[in-house]
Amino acid sequence: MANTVNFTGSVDRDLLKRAKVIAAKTDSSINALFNAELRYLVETFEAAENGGNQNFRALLDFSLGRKDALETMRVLGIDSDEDIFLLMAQARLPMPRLSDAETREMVEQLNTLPTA
Amino acid sequence: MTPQANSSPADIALLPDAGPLITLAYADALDLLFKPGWTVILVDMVLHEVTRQKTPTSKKLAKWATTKRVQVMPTRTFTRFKELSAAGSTPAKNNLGELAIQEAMNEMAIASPPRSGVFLFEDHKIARASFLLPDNSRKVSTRAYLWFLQDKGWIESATEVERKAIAAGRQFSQVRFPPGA
Repeated sequence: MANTVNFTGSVDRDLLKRAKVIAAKTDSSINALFNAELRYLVETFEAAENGGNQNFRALLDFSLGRKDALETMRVLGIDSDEDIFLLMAQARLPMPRLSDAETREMVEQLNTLPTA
Repeated sequence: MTPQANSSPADIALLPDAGPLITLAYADALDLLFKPGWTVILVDMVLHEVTRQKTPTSKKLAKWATTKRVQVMPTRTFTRFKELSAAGSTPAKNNLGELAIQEAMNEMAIASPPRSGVFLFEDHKIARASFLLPDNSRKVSTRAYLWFLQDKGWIESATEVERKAIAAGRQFSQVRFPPGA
């Protein structure tokens, strides 16, 4: 019997909607997808740490908004925005993002401007 | 400051930082910058940053800037960078693009009449809040810009553009991860 526990969390509404589509398309479940991704993250983190490589940790800190891009680039020994974008993509970590409310506020600012 | 009621779209300057240029280049969507009809301007230091090394997007960005005749705004930051480089010095490069953009913001604020600018950054740079933003400028994320285009009906899906960029990034970065390994 699998040793599983239930827990409560929250997730971005649009992300959950997209995950449900993937679950349906792959004849899977949100639960299975969540477990697979969490396992990937934990195992990648642990493998890097066991190998004495702090790069994944640095990228995760950046993804979670705990370290800024300049500090992350310094730790990783890179000096371009493109490198950090590529590394995040390859590490399968999302770029840090502002809340939907903050993003919507910026959209409203753009709406005040004349357009073609 | 609100743009004058009679101002035309071309009076608004849209200045993307390196991050949005790279994201849009990977998504094959650089032309989305022209959709609102604003004047797209590249800060010289930023253009240098995204084209100085041979990367999957550097050639595409250089070609796009040339063929679309995108205006390039000169800055003292880039001039000084070139002087130091020519003198054999190696100036720190990490945040020179941002310094040049701040310079561009200031120039636009003190222009007569002041010009309205939309400065496009990735979310993490906006969150850092290190910019002193003049009244006539707006600091906007790539995602907000894409939502705006979607709301206007100029693109079908903002998420799809982001997804395309990430998918292309994964394809290109496989030989480069992890750094230092």
